[in-house]
Amino acid sequence: MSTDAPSPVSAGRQTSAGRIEGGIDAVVIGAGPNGLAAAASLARAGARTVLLGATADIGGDGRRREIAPGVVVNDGEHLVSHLDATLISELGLYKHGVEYAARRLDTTYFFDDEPTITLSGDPTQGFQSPDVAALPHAAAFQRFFDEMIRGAGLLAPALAGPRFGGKGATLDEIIERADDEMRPRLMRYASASVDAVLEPVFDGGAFRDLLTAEATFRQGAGPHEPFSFLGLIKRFSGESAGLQGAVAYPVGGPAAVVDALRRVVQNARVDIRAPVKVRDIIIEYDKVAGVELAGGGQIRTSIVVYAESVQSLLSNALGAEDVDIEYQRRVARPAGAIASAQALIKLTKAPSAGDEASALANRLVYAPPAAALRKSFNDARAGAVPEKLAVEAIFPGAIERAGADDNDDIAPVLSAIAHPLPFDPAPSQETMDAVEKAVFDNLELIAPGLAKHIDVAEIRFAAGAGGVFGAPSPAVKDEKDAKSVLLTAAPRGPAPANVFDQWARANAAATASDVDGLFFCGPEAEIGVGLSCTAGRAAAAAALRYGRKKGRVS
Amino acid sequence: MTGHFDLVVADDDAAGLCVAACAARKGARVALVRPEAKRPRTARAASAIPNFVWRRLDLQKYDLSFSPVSAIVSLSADGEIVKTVESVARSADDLETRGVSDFDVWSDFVREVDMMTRRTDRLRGEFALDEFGRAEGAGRANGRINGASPIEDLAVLSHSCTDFLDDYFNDERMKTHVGARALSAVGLGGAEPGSVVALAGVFAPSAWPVRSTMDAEDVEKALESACEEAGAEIFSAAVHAVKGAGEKFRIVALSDGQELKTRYLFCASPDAARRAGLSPFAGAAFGAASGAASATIRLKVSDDVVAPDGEDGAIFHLADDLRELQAARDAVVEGRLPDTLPIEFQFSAPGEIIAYTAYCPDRFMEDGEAREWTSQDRQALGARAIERLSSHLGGLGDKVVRSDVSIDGAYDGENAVSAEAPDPRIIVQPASVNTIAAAVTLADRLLHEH
Repeated sequence: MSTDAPSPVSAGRQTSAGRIEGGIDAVVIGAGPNGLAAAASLARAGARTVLLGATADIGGDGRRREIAPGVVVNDGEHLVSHLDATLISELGLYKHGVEYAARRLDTTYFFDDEPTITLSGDPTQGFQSPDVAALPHAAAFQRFFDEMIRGAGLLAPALAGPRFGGKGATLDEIIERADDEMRPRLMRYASASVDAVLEPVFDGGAFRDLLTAEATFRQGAGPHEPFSFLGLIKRFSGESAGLQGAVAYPVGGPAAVVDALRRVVQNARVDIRAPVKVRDIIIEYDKVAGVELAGGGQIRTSIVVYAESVQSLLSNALGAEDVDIEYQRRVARPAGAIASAQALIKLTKAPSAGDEASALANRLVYAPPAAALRKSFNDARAGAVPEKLAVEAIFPGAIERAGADDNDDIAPVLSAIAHPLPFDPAPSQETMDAVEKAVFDNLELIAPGLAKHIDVAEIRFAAGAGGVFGAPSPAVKDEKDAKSVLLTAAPRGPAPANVFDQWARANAAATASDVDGLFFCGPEAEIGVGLSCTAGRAAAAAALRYGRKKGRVS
Repeated sequence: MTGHFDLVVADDDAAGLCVAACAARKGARVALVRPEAKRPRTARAASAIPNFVWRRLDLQKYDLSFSPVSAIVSLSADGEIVKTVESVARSADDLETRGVSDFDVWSDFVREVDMMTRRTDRLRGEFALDEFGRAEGAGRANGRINGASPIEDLAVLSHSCTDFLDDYFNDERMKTHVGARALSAVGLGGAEPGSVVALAGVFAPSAWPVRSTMDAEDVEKALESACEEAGAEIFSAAVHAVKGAGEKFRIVALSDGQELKTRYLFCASPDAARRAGLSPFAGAAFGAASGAASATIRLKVSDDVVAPDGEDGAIFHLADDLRELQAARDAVVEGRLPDTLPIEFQFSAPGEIIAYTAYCPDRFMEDGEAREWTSQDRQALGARAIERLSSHLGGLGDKVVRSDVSIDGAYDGENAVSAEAPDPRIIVQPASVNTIAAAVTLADRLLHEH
């Protein structure tokens, strides 16, 4: 694995004070995954595109980092489940280096009192394992799951990302078009709580626990709260390389996808400038006319794709006075209450082979009892660190080496996400200690004895907006004194309450600014967590339609 | 087949009776199915009959003495009082007198809640009619002249009540006053997504509650007469099963073997569904709170116990702040009694207090195991309620002559007629502070289609 990120920045290409630059079709502000996707799509369609990054770090948080000498980990997402299939084909991401180590990870679920259950990573294929079929509620689970996958398939287009300029279906249009049998179910799925949907199907048991954990994992709403069930639908609506519901792992981790996007951007001759600070988006007669930079220079353009947060759009770039007050109301998120933690752990030795060897290459999930998870959400919302956390863990090395005969070369690194935790931008030492304890205690249920083999551990604590975790650690810790380190990261934004809320805000954020030529694809335009780039791709497509209509882009 | 109906109303509490009577008066073929098991009567139902239903049923001719609730009063721990009345202008004056800084937005707030009520009614109608979005089809073609799409309504209503109140009010007392009232019937926490829907109908002058000093049983008898006179058929049985009869009809099989064919099976609240033998999840509904039961505590007290602020005819709410409501909801969700119990009460007759709380778990969770309500639980709840009331009524302890606690909506999973998927022909209306107003409005809408 290489740690050298490509350096695509054409340093020095700055627009100097007083200079007005023309001949540009589109400016993309923000060089995270969505900004890269938008810039690549625009440039490949023939638009002369400038990409402005706030820092020299093109690609955002999806980067590699050393947590201990020689131990390189991926920051940010550790799995890919919603990567935009259209984007993959349009940009030819496979040709630019995206390669899946696993397209459909099987998931092994761990419970308090029940034996583990391993479910196929291909939900449409059913659960043919005889062990699973023999479990109580297995038949009900299969029926329920099939229906849910059907629902997820139907709602997927609306849940993928915001809808620009009337293209694509909205939730109500999809529900309206569904057949008589499916329609009431979809209505219920959109608004019901996890408990309300699961209660009539399962009076308890492992399947209910695993579905509850999946539905609420990395959501801001607990299992008893209305609108929380849609989280489960969203989870299974993921598309990876066009495969419905797949949870995938690219060689090199999700950061490899960002690397590929960077290469596409370079090959498409996008003019990348970073670090550049945008002072203002110039609006003339309710239309975008250009971008003014902090240095005083201007870039004239009729299209701006904005891939930073709504907050920065309103407070810095655009200025609140230019934007409809109702728009501001609709996109402003209330303060979040729930966050997740990510743990990156280097073990003293490679995970052992033996009976569990095949499971090491699975996605590993600890599903607390549904009732305990309800309490955890209550605790987290009240500011306390819960005892029970749902945990998702992977051994990236084992996934990349799946099928190999021996485990000797497996990098002894574990990546885990734990949820729910209180949203706390400035946690006390006591809170951090409690988070550390809770994360390790719950990880123990997946990997008994893990605590004894920890070499270096880093736990970071952040809200889930955009699904990317915060800033990198300030320094590489010395192996000897750092058994476990907890670093807090500045949250990227309040955690959204639930998928329905995200859906509503994403559409409001993306479509209603009332400024012609401005296309928004910041974190608020994303629905659910995970690397998807759908918002960036859709914003670029809408920008191109706009440009062609105006005759500005050929 | 015993009969063919447009509407079968399950349960016989005041909401069910009002729906059946109003629908029958409109000419619909209505059956009222009353569960055999008698439940303890409460006065809450009487206090919730809104003016417009009263007028539609000509309830004055049944020798009922109703009068509008004089005020809705919230009492905080330090004895502070916030009071609003039917008249929006007078409410604002009273708030100003008490130094509540938000008095000037009260009329705006009531107007917005009114708008939200219409959105909620419309949305519930679309859910119930299984025509999400389709009812507004003409509007859509014309660019939705009538405003938002149902999914936009849903988006508005999916927010938390606390955020909504934060938008409107600065004064914590005001937020507590509104929140305590709105969430009281539903047992929701203010920070819960979707809890803003609980505001529907709250403080609306058009649906202002009335109260009667009569016994609730007499009120329900009068409503029963209204049902019979309007031509509704009454069956004394529980729902045994619901079977399909094509897309448009259902056969409701009763426990005594009779079968009723109907377009809709209607339950005015999740509790009503439970009492009738149905799972509250059996039907299509929006915004139903799950896992909550409610308790009515009826107290005989000595005559020297007087209503705070001299408001004999008011509905009182006890809640210190919105956090308390959230903590109580959290307790319910976790299957235990809240440490501090939010309570609603009124003086139903001289020397009689009826207190009510929707913050009760439907079953208790202990060490990961569920168990049902016991008499000890009821006693514990009664004690907590009396303790809470006592602190606001000048020491109630030795003035309670008799107390009686009844629980509604406790879990009884074994008997419930359930379905893995919701049946669009079964309507289980979510709990709300104005159950009767919402139920009658929803039934009107269902019948209007035919």
